[in-house]
Amino acid sequence: MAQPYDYILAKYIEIGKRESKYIGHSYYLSLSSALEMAKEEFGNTYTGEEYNIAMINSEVYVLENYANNFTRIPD
Amino acid sequence: MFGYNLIGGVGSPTPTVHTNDMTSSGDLGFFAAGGDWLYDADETNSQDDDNWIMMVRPYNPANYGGTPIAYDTSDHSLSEGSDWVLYNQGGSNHSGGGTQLSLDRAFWGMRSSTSGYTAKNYMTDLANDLGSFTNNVAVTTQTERYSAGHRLNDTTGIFYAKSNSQQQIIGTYNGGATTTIAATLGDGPAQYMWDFSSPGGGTEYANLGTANTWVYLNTNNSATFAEGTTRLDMNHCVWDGSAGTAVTKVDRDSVVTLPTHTGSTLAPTILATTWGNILIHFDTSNPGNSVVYPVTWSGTSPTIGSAVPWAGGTQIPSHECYLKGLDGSGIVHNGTKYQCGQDRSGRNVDLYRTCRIYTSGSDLKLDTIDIDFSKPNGEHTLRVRHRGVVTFSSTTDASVWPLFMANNKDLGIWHKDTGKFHYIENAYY
Repeated sequence: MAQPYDYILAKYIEIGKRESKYIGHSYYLSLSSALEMAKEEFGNTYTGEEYNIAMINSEVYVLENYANNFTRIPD
Repeated sequence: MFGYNLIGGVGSPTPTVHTNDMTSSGDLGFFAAGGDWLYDADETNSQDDDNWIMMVRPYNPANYGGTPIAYDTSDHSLSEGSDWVLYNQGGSNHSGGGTQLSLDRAFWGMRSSTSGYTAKNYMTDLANDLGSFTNNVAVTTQTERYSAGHRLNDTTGIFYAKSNSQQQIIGTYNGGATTTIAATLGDGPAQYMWDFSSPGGGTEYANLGTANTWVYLNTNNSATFAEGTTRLDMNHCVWDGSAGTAVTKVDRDSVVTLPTHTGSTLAPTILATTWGNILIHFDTSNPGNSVVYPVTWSGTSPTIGSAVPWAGGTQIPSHECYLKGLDGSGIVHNGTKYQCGQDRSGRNVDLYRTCRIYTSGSDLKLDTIDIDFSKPNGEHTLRVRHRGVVTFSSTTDASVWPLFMANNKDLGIWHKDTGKFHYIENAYY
């Protein structure tokens, strides 16, 4: 997985699908965890702006395609 | 033997559920609600509708919008008004989030793809017809600090950026054009948080705690709650309320070592009480290992009491109960003041009304429950008020937005995946 976007999106969906089954979960926290994991994975390979854009595009993907209903995202 | 009770039965009024379908199943959550059904006696409704909700409408790449909703408690009819644009900052995509402080006032964070992904934080109040903002003041404009607004109490909120450069900014707002914000806490992972609350104290519904003081949770400057995470840090923050002044933050690292929680990654949450805080540790894999910790404060120093087993044990698992943000503050993404479940009878504000949502076949079911956190040693009592009051059909998604009514008996709840709003009369009778 070469791009932070692919990585962040995959982690965001993985965490979101798992935790949206729990009442009171926060997709906001899922997204920040996914970002943090990507920064641990790739370190300084990418700039802060690149991480930010990757995170935003991941959020927008789930918003636009699934209206943040994570359990509707196919496995 | 578990520490919960089932009450109700002979002589208790049966809950009555009124259900309305929303026009869209893609709505993104309430960011404000008000009117007679929710307001305390000292709150005056300035809006045209007697009872209202502001919904964030389904995602649109060109702008963020809202849908005003009017609710008639006499016949339980719901009517959705016309969508209107909350934020259009240019560019081909937007995202953000907002939360009500009180009345028609909210904190919002919003960014778009224009101008290097510029993000703005806003303090805003709604017009009487709920079709526009009367005031919508951008209090910060920055790149790479991508925030949402979160409620601390009636007049204070926190803008929290979870983006590449994490940031927290506290501010106060009383409606109108005048706004006040503190200096930021700084940039970077020390500002990551799972949740926040006030350190407790006082007795006013949805307003426990000391003005301009908050406590937030993380682990070693990280927001990631992994299976192996057992270190919990509490960060105590105080602002003097003056524009631009620095916040005094004291890090209390490793104040709690959580039990091991293999297979569970749901982060802890914190609630305010009249005497301090309740810290709740979930364990989704082994619910019997879920515990709560009482936290009392002497200035900026917390005292953490011994862990107390979650009163619901394995029968009413903590992760099936709506707890995050239940004190009216914390990290909820699009939220209202009236997601606060504290008792409103004036007898015991530490008695929290809430609900449990759990799997039943291919559906989810809802029980109404209450939890009494009035003991400073963390011992608490959980009561099931009514079982299986609502069925959410053919879904596994537990995303809900509750509204705890001023009469202390009724519950409104919107379930996102099914797109239905349920009004439950006598949910807590």
